[in-house]
Amino acid sequence: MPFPILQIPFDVRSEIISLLRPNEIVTASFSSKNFKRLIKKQYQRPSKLKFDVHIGYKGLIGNCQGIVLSAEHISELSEKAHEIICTNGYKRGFSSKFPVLYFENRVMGTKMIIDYVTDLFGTCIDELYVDRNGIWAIDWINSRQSKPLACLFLVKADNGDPIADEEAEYVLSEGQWINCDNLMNVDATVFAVHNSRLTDSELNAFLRHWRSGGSPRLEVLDMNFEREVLVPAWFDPELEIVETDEVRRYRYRDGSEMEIQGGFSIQRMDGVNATIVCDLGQFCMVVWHSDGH
Amino acid sequence: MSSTEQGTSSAAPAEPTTAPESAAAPEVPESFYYVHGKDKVVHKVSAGALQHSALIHGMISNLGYTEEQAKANPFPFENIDGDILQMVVDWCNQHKGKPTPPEDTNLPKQKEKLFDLVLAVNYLEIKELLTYCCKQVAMMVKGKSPEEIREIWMIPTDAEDEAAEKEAKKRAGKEAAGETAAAAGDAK
Repeated sequence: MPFPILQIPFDVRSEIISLLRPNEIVTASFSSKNFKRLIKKQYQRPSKLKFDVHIGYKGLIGNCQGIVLSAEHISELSEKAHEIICTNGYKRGFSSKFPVLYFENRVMGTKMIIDYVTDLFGTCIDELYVDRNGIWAIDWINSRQSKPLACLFLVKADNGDPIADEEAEYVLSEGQWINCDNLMNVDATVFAVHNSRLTDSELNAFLRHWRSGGSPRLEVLDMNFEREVLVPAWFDPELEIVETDEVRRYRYRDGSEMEIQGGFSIQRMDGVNATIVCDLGQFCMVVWHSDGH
Repeated sequence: MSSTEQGTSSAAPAEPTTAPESAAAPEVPESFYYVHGKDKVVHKVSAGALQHSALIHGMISNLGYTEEQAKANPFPFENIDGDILQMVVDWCNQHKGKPTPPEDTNLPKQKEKLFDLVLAVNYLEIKELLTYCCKQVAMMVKGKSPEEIREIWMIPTDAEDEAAEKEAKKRAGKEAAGETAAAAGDAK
Protein backbone atom coordinates (compact mmCIF):
# COMPACT_ATOMS: atom_id res chain seq x y z
CA MET A 1 0.00 0.00 0.00
CA PRO A 2 1.61 3.31 -1.06
CA PHE A 3 2.28 6.05 1.45
CA PRO A 4 2.31 9.60 0.03
CA ILE A 5 5.32 10.85 1.93
CA LEU A 6 5.32 14.22 0.16
CA GLN A 7 1.87 15.00 1.58
CA ILE A 8 2.76 14.76 5.25
CA PRO A 9 3.94 17.69 7.39
CA PHE A 10 7.59 18.73 7.16
CA ASP A 11 8.53 17.71 10.72
CA VAL A 12 7.02 14.24 10.39
CA ARG A 13 8.71 13.64 7.04
CA SER A 14 11.99 14.81 8.53
CA GLU A 15 11.57 12.32 11.39
CA ILE A 16 10.86 9.47 8.96
CA ILE A 17 13.85 10.31 6.78
CA SER A 18 16.10 10.57 9.81
CA LEU A 19 15.04 7.07 10.91
CA LEU A 20 16.47 5.58 7.71
CA ARG A 21 19.91 4.01 7.75
CA PRO A 22 22.57 5.72 5.62
CA ASN A 23 22.32 3.06 2.87
CA GLU A 24 18.55 3.59 2.73
CA ILE A 25 19.02 7.37 2.56
CA VAL A 26 21.36 6.96 -0.40
CA THR A 27 19.01 4.51 -2.10
CA ALA A 28 16.00 6.80 -1.60
CA SER A 29 17.97 9.76 -2.95
CA PHE A 30 18.17 8.03 -6.34
CA SER A 31 14.37 7.91 -6.63
CA SER A 32 14.22 11.49 -8.00
CA LYS A 33 16.25 14.71 -8.14
CA ASN A 34 13.61 16.56 -6.12
CA PHE A 35 13.54 13.87 -3.47
CA LYS A 36 17.32 14.01 -3.21
CA ARG A 37 17.09 17.78 -2.59
CA LEU A 38 14.40 17.15 0.02
CA ILE A 39 16.58 14.57 1.81
CA LYS A 40 19.50 17.01 1.89
CA LYS A 41 17.27 19.58 3.58
CA GLN A 42 15.39 17.33 5.96
CA TYR A 43 17.82 14.62 7.07
CA GLN A 44 18.98 15.27 10.61
CA ARG A 45 22.51 13.99 10.37
CA PRO A 46 23.88 12.41 13.54
CA SER A 47 26.94 14.36 14.65
CA LYS A 48 29.05 11.21 14.66
CA LEU A 49 28.17 10.12 11.13
CA LYS A 50 31.44 9.33 9.38
CA PHE A 51 32.20 7.59 6.13
CA ASP A 52 34.97 5.28 5.04
CA VAL A 53 36.10 4.66 1.49
CA HIS A 54 37.54 1.37 0.29
CA ILE A 55 39.29 1.45 -3.06
CA GLY A 56 40.39 -1.72 -4.74
CA TYR A 57 39.16 -3.00 -8.05
CA LYS A 58 35.82 -1.54 -7.02
CA GLY A 59 35.10 1.59 -5.03
CA LEU A 60 32.97 1.31 -1.92
CA ILE A 61 31.77 4.00 0.44
CA GLY A 62 30.11 3.20 3.72
CA ASN A 63 30.24 3.48 7.47
CA CYS A 64 30.09 1.18 10.49
CA GLN A 65 26.54 0.19 9.49
CA GLY A 66 27.63 -1.05 6.07
CA ILE A 67 28.18 -0.01 2.47
CA VAL A 68 26.00 2.82 1.17
CA LEU A 69 27.13 3.09 -2.45
CA SER A 70 29.44 1.18 -4.76
CA ALA A 71 31.23 1.96 -8.02
CA GLU A 72 32.10 -0.97 -10.26
CA HIS A 73 33.56 -1.43 -13.70
CA ILE A 74 31.05 -1.78 -16.51
CA SER A 75 32.43 -5.27 -17.23
CA GLU A 76 30.84 -6.49 -13.99
CA LEU A 77 27.43 -5.66 -15.36
CA SER A 78 26.55 -8.36 -17.88
CA GLU A 79 24.78 -10.83 -15.58
CA LYS A 80 22.37 -8.31 -14.12
CA ALA A 81 21.71 -6.22 -17.23
CA HIS A 82 17.94 -6.58 -17.05
CA GLU A 83 17.74 -4.71 -13.73
CA ILE A 84 19.90 -1.82 -14.84
CA ILE A 85 18.73 1.78 -15.10
CA CYS A 86 20.61 4.11 -17.47
CA THR A 87 20.76 7.60 -16.03
CA ASN A 88 22.93 10.72 -16.01
CA GLY A 89 25.78 9.18 -17.95
CA TYR A 90 26.18 5.99 -15.94
CA LYS A 91 24.33 2.75 -15.38
CA ARG A 92 22.76 2.01 -12.02
CA GLY A 93 21.86 -1.29 -10.43
CA PHE A 94 20.88 -2.30 -6.93
CA SER A 95 22.31 -4.90 -4.62
CA SER A 96 20.00 -6.01 -1.84
CA LYS A 97 21.09 -3.09 0.33
CA PHE A 98 22.67 -0.29 -1.69
CA PRO A 99 22.87 1.13 -5.22
CA VAL A 100 25.71 0.07 -7.50
CA LEU A 101 26.92 2.45 -10.22
CA TYR A 102 28.79 1.12 -13.26
CA PHE A 103 31.48 3.11 -15.07
CA GLU A 104 33.96 2.67 -17.86
CA ASN A 105 36.55 4.45 -15.74
CA ARG A 106 37.11 3.10 -12.22
CA VAL A 107 38.74 6.28 -10.91
CA MET A 108 35.99 8.51 -12.24
CA GLY A 109 33.37 6.18 -10.77
CA THR A 110 35.00 6.17 -7.35
CA LYS A 111 35.31 9.95 -7.37
CA MET A 112 31.66 10.23 -8.29
CA ILE A 113 30.38 8.06 -5.43
CA ILE A 114 32.56 9.97 -2.95
CA ASP A 115 31.23 13.29 -4.27
CA TYR A 116 27.67 11.99 -4.20
CA VAL A 117 27.67 10.69 -0.63
CA THR A 118 29.63 13.54 0.94
CA ASP A 119 27.34 16.05 -0.79
CA LEU A 120 24.17 14.21 0.25
CA PHE A 121 25.14 13.98 3.92
CA GLY A 122 27.16 17.21 4.07
CA THR A 123 30.09 15.40 5.62
CA CYS A 124 33.61 14.32 4.76
CA ILE A 125 35.57 11.09 4.49
CA ASP A 126 37.09 9.92 7.74
CA GLU A 127 38.94 6.72 6.86
CA LEU A 128 40.44 5.46 3.64
CA TYR A 129 41.38 1.88 2.81
CA VAL A 130 43.34 1.56 -0.40
CA ASP A 131 45.38 -0.99 -2.22
CA ARG A 132 47.86 0.08 -4.89
CA ASN A 133 44.97 0.91 -7.25
CA GLY A 134 43.76 3.64 -4.96
CA ILE A 135 46.86 5.60 -3.95
CA TRP A 136 45.60 8.54 -6.03
CA ALA A 137 42.71 8.95 -3.61
CA ILE A 138 44.86 9.97 -0.62
CA ASP A 139 45.73 13.40 -1.99
CA TRP A 140 42.45 13.75 -3.88
CA ILE A 141 40.34 13.27 -0.76
CA ASN A 142 42.58 15.41 1.43
CA SER A 143 42.46 18.23 -1.13
CA ARG A 144 38.65 18.30 -1.35
CA GLN A 145 37.79 18.44 2.34
CA SER A 146 38.75 20.85 5.09
CA LYS A 147 39.41 18.07 7.61
CA PRO A 148 42.17 15.68 6.56
CA LEU A 149 41.67 11.93 6.63
CA ALA A 150 41.74 10.65 10.19
CA CYS A 151 42.89 7.15 9.26
CA LEU A 152 44.55 5.64 6.25
CA PHE A 153 44.91 1.92 5.72
CA LEU A 154 47.05 0.57 2.94
CA VAL A 155 46.06 -2.96 2.17
CA LYS A 156 47.20 -5.71 -0.12
CA ALA A 157 45.26 -5.98 -3.37
CA ASP A 158 42.31 -8.35 -3.28
CA ASN A 159 42.99 -11.73 -4.86
CA GLY A 160 39.85 -11.26 -6.92
CA ASP A 161 41.18 -8.04 -8.37
CA PRO A 162 41.32 -8.54 -12.13
CA ILE A 163 43.92 -5.81 -12.56
CA ALA A 164 46.08 -6.80 -9.61
CA ASP A 165 48.26 -9.39 -11.29
CA GLU A 166 49.66 -7.24 -14.03
CA GLU A 167 50.38 -4.41 -11.62
CA ALA A 168 51.70 -6.62 -8.85
CA GLU A 169 54.76 -7.61 -10.83
CA TYR A 170 55.51 -4.01 -11.63
CA VAL A 171 55.03 -2.86 -8.10
CA LEU A 172 57.07 -5.62 -6.52
CA SER A 173 59.92 -5.53 -8.99
CA GLU A 174 60.17 -1.74 -8.93
CA GLY A 175 59.61 -1.53 -5.18
CA GLN A 176 57.24 1.39 -5.49
CA TRP A 177 54.61 0.08 -3.11
CA ILE A 178 54.63 2.35 -0.03
CA ASN A 179 58.18 3.47 -0.01
CA CYS A 180 59.76 5.80 2.50
CA ASP A 181 58.67 8.90 0.59
CA ASN A 182 55.03 7.76 0.64
CA LEU A 183 55.30 7.19 4.37
CA MET A 184 56.76 10.64 5.00
CA ASN A 185 54.28 12.45 2.79
CA VAL A 186 51.06 10.93 4.04
CA ASP A 187 49.49 13.44 6.40
CA ALA A 188 47.38 11.08 8.52
CA THR A 189 46.80 10.66 12.23
CA VAL A 190 46.43 6.90 12.17
CA PHE A 191 48.29 5.09 9.44
CA ALA A 192 48.30 1.34 8.97
CA VAL A 193 50.28 -0.54 6.35
CA HIS A 194 49.87 -4.23 5.77
CA ASN A 195 52.48 -6.44 4.14
CA SER A 196 55.01 -3.62 3.98
CA ARG A 197 58.33 -4.14 2.23
CA LEU A 198 60.11 -1.19 3.85
CA THR A 199 63.67 -1.93 4.87
CA ASP A 200 65.33 -1.21 8.22
CA SER A 201 67.18 1.76 6.77
CA GLU A 202 63.93 3.16 5.37
CA LEU A 203 62.30 2.85 8.79
CA ASN A 204 65.28 4.64 10.34
CA ALA A 205 64.97 7.37 7.71
CA PHE A 206 61.30 7.77 8.57
CA LEU A 207 62.10 8.00 12.30
CA ARG A 208 64.72 10.68 11.60
CA HIS A 209 62.13 12.57 9.55
CA TRP A 210 59.57 12.32 12.39
CA ARG A 211 62.13 13.27 15.05
CA SER A 212 62.98 16.48 13.23
CA GLY A 213 59.31 17.52 13.01
CA GLY A 214 58.01 15.58 10.02
CA SER A 215 54.52 14.00 9.95
CA PRO A 216 53.51 16.22 12.90
CA ARG A 217 49.90 14.97 13.10
CA LEU A 218 50.86 11.30 13.21
CA GLU A 219 49.46 9.50 16.22
CA VAL A 220 49.70 5.82 15.29
CA LEU A 221 51.83 4.15 12.67
CA ASP A 222 50.95 0.47 12.56
CA MET A 223 52.82 -1.70 10.08
CA ASN A 224 53.26 -5.35 9.48
CA PHE A 225 55.92 -6.83 7.25
CA GLU A 226 56.37 -9.78 5.05
CA ARG A 227 59.85 -10.19 6.59
CA GLU A 228 60.87 -10.28 10.23
CA VAL A 229 61.75 -7.00 11.92
CA LEU A 230 64.97 -7.28 13.84
CA VAL A 231 64.66 -5.81 17.30
CA PRO A 232 66.29 -3.59 18.42
CA ALA A 233 69.45 -3.90 16.39
CA TRP A 234 68.14 -1.98 13.43
CA PHE A 235 67.57 1.31 15.34
CA ASP A 236 70.01 3.98 14.28
CA PRO A 237 71.96 5.03 17.47
CA GLU A 238 71.58 8.69 16.43
CA LEU A 239 67.85 8.38 17.10
CA GLU A 240 68.59 7.98 20.84
CA ILE A 241 65.94 5.32 21.23
CA VAL A 242 65.81 3.82 24.72
CA GLU A 243 63.98 0.84 26.14
CA THR A 244 60.99 1.59 28.40
CA ASP A 245 58.78 -0.41 30.75
CA GLU A 246 55.96 2.12 30.79
CA VAL A 247 52.36 0.96 30.27
CA ARG A 248 50.24 3.54 28.46
CA ARG A 249 46.88 3.58 26.72
CA TYR A 250 46.11 5.22 23.39
CA ARG A 251 42.51 6.20 22.75
CA TYR A 252 41.29 6.16 19.15
CA ARG A 253 38.72 8.71 17.99
CA ASP A 254 35.99 6.08 17.99
CA GLY A 255 36.57 5.57 21.73
CA SER A 256 38.38 2.23 21.48
CA GLU A 257 41.72 1.91 23.26
CA MET A 258 45.05 0.24 22.67
CA GLU A 259 47.38 -0.62 25.53
CA ILE A 260 51.09 -0.21 24.95
CA GLN A 261 53.25 -2.20 27.30
CA GLY A 262 56.96 -1.44 27.35
CA GLY A 263 58.77 -1.12 24.04
CA PHE A 264 61.11 1.68 23.06
CA SER A 265 60.86 5.39 23.66
CA ILE A 266 61.86 8.04 21.16
CA GLN A 267 61.68 11.79 21.62
CA ARG A 268 61.03 14.41 18.97
CA MET A 269 63.19 17.57 18.92
CA ASP A 270 60.25 19.57 20.39
CA GLY A 271 59.92 17.17 23.34
CA VAL A 272 56.98 15.06 22.16
CA ASN A 273 57.47 11.38 23.01
CA ALA A 274 56.52 8.27 21.14
CA THR A 275 56.61 4.60 22.01
CA ILE A 276 57.66 1.97 19.50
CA VAL A 277 56.61 -1.61 19.96
CA CYS A 278 58.24 -4.17 17.68
CA ASP A 279 57.68 -7.84 17.28
CA LEU A 280 58.31 -10.36 14.57
CA GLY A 281 56.92 -8.81 11.43
CA GLN A 282 55.29 -5.98 13.38
CA PHE A 283 56.11 -2.32 14.03
CA CYS A 284 53.79 0.00 15.94
CA MET A 285 54.61 3.57 16.87
CA VAL A 286 52.30 5.63 19.10
CA VAL A 287 52.92 9.36 19.51
CA TRP A 288 51.86 10.86 22.82
CA HIS A 289 50.53 14.27 21.86
CA SER A 290 49.67 16.72 24.61
CA ASP A 291 45.92 16.58 23.74
CA GLY A 292 45.71 13.03 25.06
CA HIS A 293 45.88 11.21 21.74
CA MET B 1 -8.26 23.97 18.97
CA SER B 2 -9.83 26.76 21.02
CA SER B 3 -12.52 26.99 23.64
CA THR B 4 -14.77 28.60 21.01
CA GLU B 5 -14.55 25.52 18.83
CA GLN B 6 -15.26 23.42 21.85
CA GLY B 7 -18.38 25.44 22.64
CA THR B 8 -19.74 25.38 19.11
CA SER B 9 -19.52 21.66 18.68
CA SER B 10 -22.71 20.33 17.26
CA ALA B 11 -21.97 16.84 18.41
CA ALA B 12 -24.72 15.30 20.44
CA PRO B 13 -23.02 13.26 23.10
CA ALA B 14 -24.00 9.69 22.44
CA GLU B 15 -23.41 6.76 24.69
CA PRO B 16 -19.69 6.13 24.87
CA THR B 17 -18.47 3.34 22.62
CA THR B 18 -15.73 2.27 24.93
CA ALA B 19 -15.35 1.87 28.64
CA PRO B 20 -11.63 1.73 29.02
CA GLU B 21 -11.24 1.61 32.80
CA SER B 22 -8.21 -0.33 33.79
CA ALA B 23 -8.54 -3.56 35.73
CA ALA B 24 -6.86 -2.16 38.78
CA ALA B 25 -9.29 0.30 40.36
CA PRO B 26 -7.57 3.58 41.19
CA GLU B 27 -7.81 4.88 44.72
CA VAL B 28 -9.05 8.28 43.54
CA PRO B 29 -11.98 8.16 41.09
CA GLU B 30 -10.60 8.77 37.63
CA SER B 31 -12.06 11.54 35.53
CA PHE B 32 -13.15 10.89 31.97
CA TYR B 33 -13.39 13.05 28.91
CA TYR B 34 -15.15 12.61 25.60
CA VAL B 35 -13.92 13.02 22.06
CA HIS B 36 -15.47 12.55 18.67
CA GLY B 37 -14.21 12.51 15.12
CA LYS B 38 -15.75 13.17 11.71
CA ASP B 39 -18.38 10.43 12.29
CA LYS B 40 -19.64 12.09 15.54
CA VAL B 41 -19.28 8.85 17.45
CA VAL B 42 -18.30 9.81 20.98
CA HIS B 43 -15.46 7.97 22.74
CA LYS B 44 -15.10 8.05 26.50
CA VAL B 45 -11.44 8.26 27.46
CA SER B 46 -9.81 8.56 30.87
CA ALA B 47 -7.71 11.57 31.70
CA GLY B 48 -4.77 9.19 32.21
CA ALA B 49 -5.05 7.83 28.67
CA LEU B 50 -5.50 11.31 27.21
CA GLN B 51 -2.24 12.45 28.79
CA HIS B 52 -0.49 10.90 25.78
CA SER B 53 -1.92 13.70 23.66
CA ALA B 54 -0.16 16.98 24.36
CA LEU B 55 -2.93 18.79 22.47
CA ILE B 56 -5.83 17.34 24.49
CA HIS B 57 -3.90 17.47 27.75
CA GLY B 58 -3.27 21.16 27.12
CA MET B 59 -6.93 21.75 26.34
CA ILE B 60 -8.02 20.03 29.57
CA SER B 61 -5.52 21.95 31.67
CA ASN B 62 -6.55 25.25 30.13
CA LEU B 63 -10.30 24.73 30.29
CA GLY B 64 -10.56 23.28 33.80
CA TYR B 65 -13.51 21.09 32.77
CA THR B 66 -15.53 19.08 35.24
CA GLU B 67 -16.52 15.62 34.12
CA GLU B 68 -20.15 16.75 33.62
CA GLN B 69 -19.10 19.67 31.45
CA ALA B 70 -16.80 17.43 29.49
CA LYS B 71 -19.60 14.93 28.87
CA ALA B 72 -21.88 17.68 27.59
CA ASN B 73 -19.16 19.03 25.29
CA PRO B 74 -17.01 16.30 23.74
CA PHE B 75 -13.80 17.49 22.14
CA PRO B 76 -14.57 17.66 18.41
CA PHE B 77 -11.92 16.49 15.96
CA GLU B 78 -13.78 17.00 12.71
CA ASN B 79 -10.61 16.51 10.69
CA ILE B 80 -10.08 12.94 11.95
CA ASP B 81 -11.98 9.95 10.58
CA GLY B 82 -13.95 8.01 13.18
CA ASP B 83 -12.05 4.74 12.68
CA ILE B 84 -8.72 6.55 12.96
CA LEU B 85 -9.78 8.26 16.17
CA GLN B 86 -10.88 4.86 17.47
CA MET B 87 -7.36 3.49 16.78
CA VAL B 88 -5.80 6.43 18.59
CA VAL B 89 -8.12 6.08 21.57
CA ASP B 90 -7.41 2.34 21.75
CA TRP B 91 -3.67 2.98 21.69
CA CYS B 92 -3.93 5.63 24.41
CA ASN B 93 -5.96 3.23 26.57
CA GLN B 94 -3.52 0.37 26.04
CA HIS B 95 -0.61 2.57 27.05
CA LYS B 96 -2.29 4.42 29.89
CA GLY B 97 0.11 4.96 32.77
CA LYS B 98 2.67 2.54 31.28
CA PRO B 99 6.14 3.29 30.04
CA THR B 100 6.07 3.04 26.27
CA PRO B 101 8.06 0.06 24.99
CA PRO B 102 10.79 0.63 22.40
CA GLU B 103 8.88 -1.43 19.83
CA ASP B 104 5.12 -1.32 19.76
CA THR B 105 3.30 -4.46 18.73
CA ASN B 106 -0.12 -2.83 19.25
CA LEU B 107 0.19 -0.52 16.28
CA PRO B 108 -2.62 -0.75 13.77
CA LYS B 109 -1.66 -3.25 11.12
CA GLN B 110 -3.72 -1.78 8.29
CA LYS B 111 -1.12 -0.04 6.16
CA GLU B 112 -3.79 1.77 4.15
CA LYS B 113 -4.74 3.66 7.31
CA LEU B 114 -1.18 4.65 8.16
CA PHE B 115 -1.25 7.95 6.29
CA ASP B 116 -4.44 9.15 8.05
CA LEU B 117 -3.13 7.82 11.35
CA VAL B 118 0.14 9.78 10.97
CA LEU B 119 -1.78 13.00 10.26
CA ALA B 120 -4.14 12.45 13.20
CA VAL B 121 -1.38 11.54 15.64
CA ASN B 122 0.70 14.50 14.55
CA TYR B 123 -2.31 16.80 15.01
CA LEU B 124 -3.09 15.37 18.44
CA GLU B 125 0.60 15.61 19.37
CA ILE B 126 1.01 12.04 20.61
CA LYS B 127 4.76 11.87 20.44
CA GLU B 128 5.38 8.20 21.19
CA LEU B 129 2.72 6.96 18.80
CA LEU B 130 4.02 9.32 16.12
CA THR B 131 7.51 7.86 16.55
CA TYR B 132 6.12 4.32 16.16
CA CYS B 133 4.20 5.35 13.04
CA CYS B 134 7.31 7.00 11.58
CA LYS B 135 9.29 3.81 12.20
CA GLN B 136 6.63 1.84 10.39
CA VAL B 137 6.80 4.20 7.41
CA ALA B 138 10.59 3.97 7.39
CA MET B 139 10.37 0.16 7.50
CA MET B 140 8.28 0.19 4.32
CA VAL B 141 11.37 0.93 2.21
CA LYS B 142 13.84 -1.41 3.89
CA GLY B 143 15.76 -3.37 1.25
CA LYS B 144 13.89 -1.65 -1.61
CA SER B 145 15.45 -0.24 -4.76
CA PRO B 146 15.09 3.45 -5.71
CA GLU B 147 12.32 2.54 -8.17
CA GLU B 148 10.44 0.54 -5.52
CA ILE B 149 10.82 3.37 -3.00
CA ARG B 150 9.43 5.78 -5.59
CA GLU B 151 6.32 3.61 -5.90
CA ILE B 152 5.88 2.94 -2.19
CA TRP B 153 6.26 6.59 -1.18
CA MET B 154 4.49 7.95 -4.28
CA ILE B 155 7.46 10.08 -5.34
CA PRO B 156 7.05 11.58 -8.83
CA THR B 157 9.72 10.76 -11.40
CA ASP B 158 12.05 13.51 -12.66
CA ALA B 159 9.97 13.69 -15.85
CA GLU B 160 6.74 14.09 -13.86
CA ASP B 161 8.34 16.79 -11.70
CA GLU B 162 9.52 18.65 -14.81
CA ALA B 163 6.08 18.43 -16.42
CA ALA B 164 4.43 19.69 -13.22
CA GLU B 165 6.90 22.57 -13.01
CA LYS B 166 6.23 23.54 -16.63
CA GLU B 167 2.49 23.40 -16.01
CA ALA B 168 2.81 25.55 -12.89
CA LYS B 169 4.89 28.14 -14.79
CA LYS B 170 2.35 28.17 -17.60
CA ARG B 171 -0.51 28.67 -15.14
CA ALA B 172 1.37 31.41 -13.30
CA GLY B 173 2.06 33.12 -16.63
CA LYS B 174 -1.61 33.01 -17.59
CA GLU B 175 -2.67 34.34 -14.19
CA ALA B 176 -0.15 37.19 -14.44
CA ALA B 177 -1.39 38.01 -17.96
CA GLY B 178 -4.98 37.94 -16.69
CA GLU B 179 -4.14 40.33 -13.83
CA THR B 180 -2.33 42.69 -16.23
CA ALA B 181 -5.33 42.69 -18.56
CA ALA B 182 -7.71 43.33 -15.65
CA ALA B 183 -5.52 46.18 -14.38
CA ALA B 184 -5.47 47.69 -17.88
CA GLY B 185 -9.27 47.40 -18.05
CA ASP B 186 -9.60 49.15 -14.70
CA ALA B 187 -7.30 51.94 -15.87
CA LYS B 188 -9.53 52.57 -18.89
